[in-house]
Amino acid sequence: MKIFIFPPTSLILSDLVERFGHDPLAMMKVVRERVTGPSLDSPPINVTPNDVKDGLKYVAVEVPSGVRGRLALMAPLVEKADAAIMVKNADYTFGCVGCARTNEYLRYFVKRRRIPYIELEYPYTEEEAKEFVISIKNFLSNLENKNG
Amino acid sequence: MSKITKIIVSPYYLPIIPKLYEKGFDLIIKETCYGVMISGEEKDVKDAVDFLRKEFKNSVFIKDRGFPPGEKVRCRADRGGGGRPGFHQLEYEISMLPNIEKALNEIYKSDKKTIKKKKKRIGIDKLQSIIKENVPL
Repeated sequence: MKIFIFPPTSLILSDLVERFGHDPLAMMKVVRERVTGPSLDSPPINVTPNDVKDGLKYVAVEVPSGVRGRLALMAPLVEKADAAIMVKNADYTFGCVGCARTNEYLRYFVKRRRIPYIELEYPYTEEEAKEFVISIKNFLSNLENKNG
Repeated sequence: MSKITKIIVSPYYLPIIPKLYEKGFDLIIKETCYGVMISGEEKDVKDAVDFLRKEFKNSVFIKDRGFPPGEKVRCRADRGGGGRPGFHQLEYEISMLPNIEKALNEIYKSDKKTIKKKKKRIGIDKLQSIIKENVPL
């Protein structure tokens, strides 16, 4: 099954989902298509002016272009997803997931689509890590059981 | 077939590169400060990932990477230094990997125990001896 992970560039979530036999829908795959596919953009860039227009599919025109451009990359992942694993209250907001508004929209899209999702927090201790991994494992195995 | 790139990260020093060279995968392998990048045809990369997961079990963590190794847009060598975009998140998650590894080890260990308990069956000889002992002729 296709699992949307949030943050969409997370190493831990991407690895765990793959380890438990599912396909993580991660940001890196979308970026790869942009930067390695044949295109006229020089240098190959992640977000093009057209993406900003594509973002209008998801949000209104008043929303900043940065958010729309990001959503043009990430929102299609939510559309494709059968389920979602989201980590909330992450201490960092760096890089391509650093936009708080985009993050809020993505969470909203997941909830609006009514797909099964789980919300967790990053673990800091051994006990928390165990709970974190077990809840992801149980969530994914329950999905398999529900879908036969 | 399309070329893909993966990042392999471990919280410890592991001989990932020697093992990959030993196996002779047809890949571009690059060592970085945070781990190893492998790039090549999708099938070769998948084989290498399966091999590494088998060899190092829960000690390696693997994720996709969008840019190929040495890409000028991302590589620090061409950008004049500083952490590459996305490194801070990776660094943040690397600090949690030892705990995640321990959790995975424990989960797999307890899984194996339950599987063994379920599949344990007695042999025919033992069954015969139990019958002989308990059922009067």
